[in-house]
Amino acid sequence: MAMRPLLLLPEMLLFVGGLAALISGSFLPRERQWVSRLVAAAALVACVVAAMIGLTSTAQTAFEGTFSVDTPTGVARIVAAVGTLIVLSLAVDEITGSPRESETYALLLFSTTGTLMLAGADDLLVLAVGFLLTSIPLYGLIGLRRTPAGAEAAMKTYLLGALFGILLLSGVTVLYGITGTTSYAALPDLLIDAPTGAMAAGVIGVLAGLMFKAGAVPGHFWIPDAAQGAGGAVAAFLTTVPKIGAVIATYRLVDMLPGTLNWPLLIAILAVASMTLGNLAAYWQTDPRRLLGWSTVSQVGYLLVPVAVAGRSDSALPSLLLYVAGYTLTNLAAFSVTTALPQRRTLESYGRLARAQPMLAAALVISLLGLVGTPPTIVFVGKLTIASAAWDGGLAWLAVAVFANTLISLFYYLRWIVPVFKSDADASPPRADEGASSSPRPASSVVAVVAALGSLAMGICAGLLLSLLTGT
Amino acid sequence: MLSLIVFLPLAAALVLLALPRLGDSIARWTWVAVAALDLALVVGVWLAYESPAVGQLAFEEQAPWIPGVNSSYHLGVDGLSLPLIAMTAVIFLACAVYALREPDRPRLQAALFLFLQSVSMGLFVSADLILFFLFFDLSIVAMYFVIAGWGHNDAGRSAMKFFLYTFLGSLALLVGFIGLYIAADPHTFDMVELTNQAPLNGSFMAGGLVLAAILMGLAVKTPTVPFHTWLPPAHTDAPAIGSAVLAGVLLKMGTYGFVRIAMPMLPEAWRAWAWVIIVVGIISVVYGALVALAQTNLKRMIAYTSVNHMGYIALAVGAAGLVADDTAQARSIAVTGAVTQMVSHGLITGALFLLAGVLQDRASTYDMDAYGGLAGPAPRFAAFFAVGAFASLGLPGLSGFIAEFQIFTGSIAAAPVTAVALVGILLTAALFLRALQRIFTGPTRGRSTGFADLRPTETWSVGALLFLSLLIGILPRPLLDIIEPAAEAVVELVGR
Amino acid sequence: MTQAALWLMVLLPAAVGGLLALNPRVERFATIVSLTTATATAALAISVAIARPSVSMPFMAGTDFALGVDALSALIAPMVAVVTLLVLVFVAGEIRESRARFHGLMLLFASAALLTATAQTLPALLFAWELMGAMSYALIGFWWRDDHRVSAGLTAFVTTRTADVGLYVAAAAAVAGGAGLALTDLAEGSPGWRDVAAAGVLVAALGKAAQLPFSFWLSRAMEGPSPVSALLHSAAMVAMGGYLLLRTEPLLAATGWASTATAWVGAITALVLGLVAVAQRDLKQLLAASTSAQLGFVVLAAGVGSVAGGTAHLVAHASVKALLFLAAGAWLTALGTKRLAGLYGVARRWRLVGWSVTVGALSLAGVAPLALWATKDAVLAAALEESLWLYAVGLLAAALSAAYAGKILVVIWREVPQEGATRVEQHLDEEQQGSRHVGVLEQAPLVVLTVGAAVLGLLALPPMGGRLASALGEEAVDATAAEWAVSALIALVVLAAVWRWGVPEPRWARGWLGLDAATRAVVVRPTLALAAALARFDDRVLDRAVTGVAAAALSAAKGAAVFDDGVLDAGVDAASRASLRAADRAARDDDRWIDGLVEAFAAHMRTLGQIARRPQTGQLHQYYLQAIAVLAVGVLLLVMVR
Repeated sequence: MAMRPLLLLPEMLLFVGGLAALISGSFLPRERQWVSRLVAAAALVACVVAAMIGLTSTAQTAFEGTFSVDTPTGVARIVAAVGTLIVLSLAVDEITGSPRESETYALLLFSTTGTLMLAGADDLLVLAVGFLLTSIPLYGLIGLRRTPAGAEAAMKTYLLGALFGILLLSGVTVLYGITGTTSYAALPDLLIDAPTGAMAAGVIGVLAGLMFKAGAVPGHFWIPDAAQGAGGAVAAFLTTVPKIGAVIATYRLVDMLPGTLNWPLLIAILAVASMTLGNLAAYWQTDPRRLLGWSTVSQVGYLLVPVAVAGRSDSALPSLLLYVAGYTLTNLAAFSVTTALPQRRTLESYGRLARAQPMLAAALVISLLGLVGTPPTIVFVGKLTIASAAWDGGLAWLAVAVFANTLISLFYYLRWIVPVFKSDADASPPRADEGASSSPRPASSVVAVVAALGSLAMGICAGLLLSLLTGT
Repeated sequence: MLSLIVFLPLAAALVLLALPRLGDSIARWTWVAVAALDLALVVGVWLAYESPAVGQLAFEEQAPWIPGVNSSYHLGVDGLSLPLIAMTAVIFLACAVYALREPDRPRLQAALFLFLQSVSMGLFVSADLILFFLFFDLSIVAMYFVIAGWGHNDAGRSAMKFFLYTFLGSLALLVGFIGLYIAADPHTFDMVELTNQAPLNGSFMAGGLVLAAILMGLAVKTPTVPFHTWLPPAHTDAPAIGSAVLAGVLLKMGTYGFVRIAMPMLPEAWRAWAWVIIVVGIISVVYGALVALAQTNLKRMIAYTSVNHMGYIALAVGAAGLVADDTAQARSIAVTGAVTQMVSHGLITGALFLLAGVLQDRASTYDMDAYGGLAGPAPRFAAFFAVGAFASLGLPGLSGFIAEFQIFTGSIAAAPVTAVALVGILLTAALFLRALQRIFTGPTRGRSTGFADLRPTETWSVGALLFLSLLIGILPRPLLDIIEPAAEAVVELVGR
Repeated sequence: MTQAALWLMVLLPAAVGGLLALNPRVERFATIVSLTTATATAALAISVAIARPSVSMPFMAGTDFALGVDALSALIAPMVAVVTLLVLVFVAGEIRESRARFHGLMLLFASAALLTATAQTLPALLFAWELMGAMSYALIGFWWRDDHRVSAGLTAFVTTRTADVGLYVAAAAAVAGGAGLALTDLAEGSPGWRDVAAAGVLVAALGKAAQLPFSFWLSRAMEGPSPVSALLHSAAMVAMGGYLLLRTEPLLAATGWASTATAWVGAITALVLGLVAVAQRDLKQLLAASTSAQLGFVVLAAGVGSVAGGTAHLVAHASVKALLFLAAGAWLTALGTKRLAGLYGVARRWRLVGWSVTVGALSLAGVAPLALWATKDAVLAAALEESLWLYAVGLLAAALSAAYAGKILVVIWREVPQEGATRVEQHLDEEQQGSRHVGVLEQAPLVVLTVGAAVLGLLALPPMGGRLASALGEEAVDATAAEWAVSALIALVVLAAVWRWGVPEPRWARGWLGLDAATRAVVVRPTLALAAALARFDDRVLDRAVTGVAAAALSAAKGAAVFDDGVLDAGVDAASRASLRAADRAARDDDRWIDGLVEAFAAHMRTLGQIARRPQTGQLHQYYLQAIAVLAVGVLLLVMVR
């Protein structure tokens, strides 16, 4: 056991980068805030490089066994940093020159750091720290826009976050109370003999906090509001990056728990509840971002599937990581389309997009069909592997539930795709105030196309990724 | 070679997409040229083909793809797939020729169909379940855009229904594939491997469930009763070439799955559930024919005859599962007939749908009663349609007979009750002759007046399909020489 | 070389016919091309009849496409080819428009008939068999602007195809029984399957031969042009039904029961359709019924094992009936009617035609020494060996032949008294505009056929009869002198009686026993009704079930969305909007069977909407409550379920 702080270099880079962005931003005039963006981007790139280097070495722990630096952590670092980088590019269009630009960058980096803490946490207290570090910047980010909807969403998120934070901390307390330790290394042996009721209550408290962070049932309430109310870049961020840390943390937690209670069933039920509720609720949405918000609730459901068979299938962890990575990229692609076309705030307003912006339309279709899980996009491979893992782990019904839900999800993704290809004759011309004809924002458009193509490319090269993730 | 066949159209599609300023007629002719080239390549493969050993494939290509789940880029052909890729190439070429007069976004249409061709070719040469599924799903996506983009009437709704319904089927299929994967030791998606392993032999329950999922997926795509209700609206509202490809090629993906996946990989379960498949087949045959008989819309009628024709295939492959020592020859005849039927139905129904498209083009309705005496103004159209109709009702000299005779001979010999399905050939005879009578004979009236006869693009595309049907009908050996060893292999595999 | 001739005999008319039928631009050369082809085909048929080659090529279902000429085919094939040639000569004078199509279809048909006559395996036979049916459809409905003619073709095709199903079953039985698909091997199948095969073959043959109960299609088929009737409904297609039974006689005999059944169906058809013929008032209808009846003798022959007798009768009848149909066609063209009432004294107007028909009718009546007298007696002699009852029925049927033949003779020769002339003339041109002319091309074939009608009886008389029988591998059954005399006497007596008193025309027989109407009522209409019902079921129930499930899923989704909106947007508005939407939806889905479910769900959603009627801060409270509730359930679940 040793501190080995260098192992946490990526996290440190991000945190320091955030501080630097914040400080530089407060000294710079508004029109030169791009410097702080540059700083943030540099930190993220550095984080990715460091994480890649870190991945080449074998799994280790830092800070006396409270933080794992292994494949999941490495993957989380890369995916989260790349995701945040994409969000930064989206922000170019949206908040350049706006007040609080540098604060946004700083908060994004802090929250990303938190998510990485969650991903690597091997100790309940580190977990709690990660939770807070992710959540608090988020509250700020959501409210940054200062619109009524944004404020309401921020308020709601904050209040819910408070509850779940309390639950998490109580859970940690209970577990500490019955075992006298917070370390994952020591907990399993001690929990075997622990009273089951207390243990269940404690673990569920911790799980509740993680579900909140991941946006899964029962902690999903804030997601759609926040996705709709926050700015586009922030919405893209909060529906992707925090989940990375949360699901990996959940995986580590569940993997560590002794088999005295039926954890897989609980997680499976939460997974099914999330995917079903998310899919059903998404159907009648008319606001594309709110639709995407609900869609992420359902996607978290899929992400929980391999968690349910943690430790019972060799492919659970690789499939989880693959899905996380694929989902992040694909979801960001879809969000990028909405930020590229900020005036189109209803599904109908996407009419004739295929004529006006064929590239964006193609990106949208690829990313939405990707979210459905159509081959050869990466989410398909993800769904395939998580379903295989579930089946392999003895939960064949969960695999079936995944595909049943996939079908339901098709309904609402198609509701978005269909207007895009409406021909001139049957599409009502977009109203002038919707400004559908105005040209799309350049940076977001590029990001959308690149990310969509990326999700395709990842799907085609899935074999390579998967072999990396299995650590071979 | 196979990769070239599969990806040549895709490459052409990307080129077409990348050149938005390309002239319409260049785009159309590029499509024709690429389809012709692809067909030439398939012919090359056909000429060089030699039947592989049982459970093996010819022209194999394999490259690692997702080694983590033992899924590879694995292609190969045998007697089951080679006839189908040949048919696919022919149908797409016919569609390309037919569409030479298409005024609506020809460049995009060409690109979409080339993409669809790649996907269809890819499916038939896949030797890996994930690859198979990839093409299976993409075929749905591409066909959705064909119907929604170039259809008429209520195309959006029909396309949506098609998409949702067949997507449901594809998901069921995927569940089944995962079941096979999990059961195999070591886990694999490789078809050749799975065929050799037959991993679920010995576990009755699991085998049954996995087969149920796979059958569900294939039955939707095929389609068999009661999963067929997406077919009539999809056909009715699809453009002519879309219908031709949908009926000619896409439906075969379902039936091909029976002989390629369900039977050889799940022999025990297949044998156990053979009766269910036979019954579904019989019901599809009789029900499809009866419902077709009652239609007044020509395209809907042809669509329902597809249900009937696919029923014959289900019947035959079901009968092939009734393993008894002295019926091996009969069962292999039935399977041969089933594969022949796939090719035959593709050619014939493709031709019929292209012909039906002529009605829409000239008079904007498929309602048979809106016409009458059409043989007067459009004698060539009438003659072609008559040949197509007789081919479809199984007249000797045309490919339908070769298929159906073998299906019935083999099936009845293996399972006498299947003789009930013979009613199907009577009903199809009656319904096609009634349709001929309604549209073409009698005094010229209604929309028939001033109806322009077939144009060269229509004549050549439909004529080619019908000519091939005639060729197979008279000289079936070149085709059967390829199919028969493969059919025997399937029968042997399902008997394990 | 002779093998090539055999292929050529089949392929030449098929290829030329196909070209002519599908290519209307060759109209001008159609006749000459067609006649040349038919002549060549006839020559080829005769050459192969002498050389007896056999050929085969690999086909399908583990068997070959094999053709061969044996003693039976050696008679039938030339007969078909020669009658085709004669009929086409007639056509050259008769058909004036769409010649290419007509000649093409006729040649295609001839090819199919020749193929049937020489087929050695079931697939080859069925191949030709069904092609004949299709060509008969196209030829009966040749004048496609007349709906009733096309319908008649449809009836003919579908009815015969119904019977053809028997051949599909037979093929399956042959494979299952281990006999293989060669026609000569059919009798060697395992007992159960052999019976099935025999039954299948029998049904198929009865359908084509227009035997009971399938006879009615032949009546409808008379809507077609007369040359079509002359070829299809005398010498070729209908005859092929009889031919098939002669060809498969060993199979029938092997089962035992099939022979007996065949014999009786033949005898009864001969009798009953004889009655029907007697009752007809239309010349072509009379001839059609007579055809069924005469084919009854052939079927009877197959049943009692007299292949030689049956073959002789088949050939002789072909000549007689082609002659009569052509003559009827000539008169129809000339006078515009084929009703007997319009044909009084017609023989006196065109003498050559009149005398030809007279010879034909006398032959049909069984007057010695004309052809059908001898051949029929050969069949009856074999029947007598089998059963006295069969013989008696056959004899009765022979008497009926004389009666309807006499009926024709009476009409065409009887002079019309002055006062009746107008009544006769009323019938002229009632079906088409008559030309009042019978040309040389129409008359020439009649002469040849008349010779056949007179002398082909030699095939059944000693010594030819015995040689034919031994060539066919059976013992000759010669009729006794008494039998010859009795039948000849019966014919003469009946003819005289008809000349003197006329014949009764029972109404029940005139309508062909109502078989057509019965088929319509029992088979066609219920099928169409069932089809319509199923189509409705398909649209309203099956399809709706899918839509219904989808609708249910959507409304569930809507519920979730409403819930979401309600919680978010607060208050009364949300609830009322939800109720409105639910009500709206319920109204729209009113006609759906899923209705109850949707409404129940909507009501449920309304309740949820009610719960959501809380002030803004209270909603978060609800979030809390729900989250806590879910988590509590989770704890419970964990503790309870292990």
